[in-house]
Amino acid sequence: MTSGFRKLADAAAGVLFTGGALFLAGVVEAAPPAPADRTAARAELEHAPRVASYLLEARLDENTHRVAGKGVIEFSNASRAPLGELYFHLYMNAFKHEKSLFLRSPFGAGRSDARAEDWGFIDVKSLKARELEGVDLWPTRENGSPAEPNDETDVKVTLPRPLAPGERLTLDVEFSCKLPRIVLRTGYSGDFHFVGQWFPKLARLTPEGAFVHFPFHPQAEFYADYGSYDVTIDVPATMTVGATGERVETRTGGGRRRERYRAVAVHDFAWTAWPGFLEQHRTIDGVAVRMLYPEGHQRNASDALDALAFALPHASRQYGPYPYPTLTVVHPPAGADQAGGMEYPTLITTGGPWYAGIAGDRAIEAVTVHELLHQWFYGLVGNDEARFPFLDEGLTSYAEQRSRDVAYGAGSLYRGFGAELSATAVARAIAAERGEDAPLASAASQFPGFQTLAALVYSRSATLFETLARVHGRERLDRALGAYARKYRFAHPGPAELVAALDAELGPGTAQLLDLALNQRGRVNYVVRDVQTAPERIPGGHLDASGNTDEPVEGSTVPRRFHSRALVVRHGELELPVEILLIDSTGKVTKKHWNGAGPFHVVEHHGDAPLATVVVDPERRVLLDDDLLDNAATVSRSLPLRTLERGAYAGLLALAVLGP
Amino acid sequence: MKRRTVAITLDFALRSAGGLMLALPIAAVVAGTGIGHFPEGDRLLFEPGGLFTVEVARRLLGSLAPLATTSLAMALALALALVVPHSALLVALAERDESPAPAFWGRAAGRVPALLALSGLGLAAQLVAWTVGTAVGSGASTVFAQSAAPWPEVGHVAGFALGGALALVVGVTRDLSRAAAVVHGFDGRGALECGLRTLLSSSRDALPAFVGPALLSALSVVVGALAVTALDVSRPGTWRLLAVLIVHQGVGYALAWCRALWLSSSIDLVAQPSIARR
Repeated sequence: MTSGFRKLADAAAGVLFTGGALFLAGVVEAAPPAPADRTAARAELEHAPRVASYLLEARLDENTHRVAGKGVIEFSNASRAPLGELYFHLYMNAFKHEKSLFLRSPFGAGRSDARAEDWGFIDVKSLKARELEGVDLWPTRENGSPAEPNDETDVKVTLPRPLAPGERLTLDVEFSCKLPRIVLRTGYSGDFHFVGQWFPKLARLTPEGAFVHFPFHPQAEFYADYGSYDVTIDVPATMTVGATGERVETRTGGGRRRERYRAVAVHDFAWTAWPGFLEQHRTIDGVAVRMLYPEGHQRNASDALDALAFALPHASRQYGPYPYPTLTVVHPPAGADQAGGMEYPTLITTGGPWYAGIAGDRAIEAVTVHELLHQWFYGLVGNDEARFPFLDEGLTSYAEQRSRDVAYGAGSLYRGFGAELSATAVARAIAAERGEDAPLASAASQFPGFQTLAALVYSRSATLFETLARVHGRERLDRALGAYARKYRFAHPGPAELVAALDAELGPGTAQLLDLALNQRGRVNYVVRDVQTAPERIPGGHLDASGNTDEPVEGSTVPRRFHSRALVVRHGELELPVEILLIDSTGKVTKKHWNGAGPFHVVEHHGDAPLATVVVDPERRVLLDDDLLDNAATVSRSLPLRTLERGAYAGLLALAVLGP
Repeated sequence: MKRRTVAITLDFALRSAGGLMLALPIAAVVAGTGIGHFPEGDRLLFEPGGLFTVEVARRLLGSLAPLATTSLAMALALALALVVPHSALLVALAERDESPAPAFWGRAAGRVPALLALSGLGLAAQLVAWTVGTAVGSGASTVFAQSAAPWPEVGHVAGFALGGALALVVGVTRDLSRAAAVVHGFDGRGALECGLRTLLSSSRDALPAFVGPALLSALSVVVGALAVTALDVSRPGTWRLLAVLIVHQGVGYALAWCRALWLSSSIDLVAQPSIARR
């Protein structure tokens, strides 16, 4: 560390300490209620917990794709127990060699199936604790996950003496980070650099004094404590930089550009640098949104900003105000697609080809709104993404779908050529297809593959929440999720906190239903069977009490009266209330209610006409239903004439192309 | 004039029947999903949002590939069978005065082998042209990607455009050759030579003669699509289905007339004395 940097570090460490002193040890379960307006929300940032804060300087060598880093890590033992060691995540070491947990699978790197084409790693040179006589702790390092002896992403550092509850530690750190060719979210592609998970990052400390640490699994994401970040990025002067937080200083000289960014109450810091970025700026709901994108993607950039113009205020209303002054949106250039579609605090990446949206798809909007919603479910509500990915990806997917449904209606996924397709419909189908593959609340590493994880964590979770909204009422679900998001702002809730919030708002039975749905692969499929009708009869036979009458009474039918019945069956474990529609042959409609209890329900119907059709859940509230096509039964089904007509026209056009 | 109208109408009617034949297996498979049990019937498949469309697609996922293969094979067989009415159409368009029916049908039947050969050759050549175009596009796209061009996909677009243009030129040549087979009574090879000759020597006349009806065809399809969107068969009312049927068949009939317009021009082009003499 140079002496100049030391002075800067000391000065900034004082600032960080002031914030850190506001933190009360042991109070990590729930932060104060979210403020009602944005001004108060920004003030709230100053009072948010600061367990691990970073003052870093990063210098990019654009030719070797290395980042030289140094700085100060300010850590506060916010737990109730003394700490004998610290755990650091060195995520970049996932790309160090093919024995890492991340790369050793022959089937590729989880989310994208991509392999690292150039190695990436982080080399920590020193980690000196000022309060411990400046001793370098790094030589004491051990593998934090002995079960993964070849993995270097989880490191334990032993302290020479225990750190008491509430005690602070100032760590001077120096490291070098080599970026891989872009794989998943991080790396370089030509002169484009996206730098995520690039510094030694303290694992999250629980109130009980245990660190939540894990080796970097290809299907998993991240988990860390809140803190302040003050990062100075040094790049060639030709490069445009985007980063987490607010740019507070820019200096150029000697062919270099130095930009300093500050972010308060966040749990990660990522940045990007590329000479080719174009910029658009827009203020949305009081937030300065900066869009960085490559040449030729102006339309994508405008689409992304338009999507944010709706989604940002909408989400703030639903889940509490977005408290940060800035949001940076990065559209990676061609060849760096894998940097797209990722969330970091106050920085998100979108992506897609220049022609996205031309044919009516809403791919740009989808990824932009999804990553924005992560600012709440991951960012402001800091759940453990590795252990319970459904808490962030599931809630984000639901919130994203909801936001897009409100903004774009039935064509939230695609609108064109006279057709409209909603994201909810597609998510429902995916959810039904893979619903039983694994428990929804599994850890990311426990899913048998990323396709299963995606189907369950993203699509089935979203479909579960959508079902709850349709069954119990949208307003009630919104209230429940809003209360959860506000209560656990700048905190680290688990599934129990979410279930409690839903149970409190949606009523008794919700917790049990969620336990089945989240932990026990609970499913549901309503089926209508056996529509039967007979004329109503006046009973005949030996009708006296003893049954010994010599002459039986002759039974008869009642003119124009019919007795019908149908069987509605519920397969699976999830009991959800449904309506049942009974339609007689004259078109008269009767509606009945079934609370969903028990394996089946027999519906009886007496009327002037025979029963023609029975439909269960006619308003399609139970989107978790495994098979929607068995939700109706009729005595005479209609022919698919519209399909035939449309098919015949398509055939005619095909013959116009193929024929003479 | 009357015979031409009948020939165009017959050509359209048989294509329409062919379209119906192609649709029947698809409709049967959809009927098997149980969509007809719902009071809305297959109106649900056209509802905004596509909840049931996706559900039916999910149910049919396993049978889509065999269904597509069967449909393609059936479409190719129908395409070959449609050469017969097409031959009658060409003969009707080529006649200055209506010949007696036996002579007319005899002449039409006599041209079928040459037209079949040209159809098969044309289709194969169009496939090759398309493949070459897309391969070139794919290669260009790879080069663009390596050079960090902002739009590497432009290569693909250019490839599709190139493939489409080549396929179009092949199609125009095929049509001119067919016209030559009918007008001059050439066999397949002679007709092809004549068609190529016509294209090379009269491209200035052939291009607008083709483009005009082609644009009209595209316009009729777009107008039809807009009308069908407005009619919205996802809403109740059998009349909507009937109206859509009329619109679609009307578009099909318009396409038949546009095609006849172009074929009539191609007959005039190959009948030029300068072409016929060589």
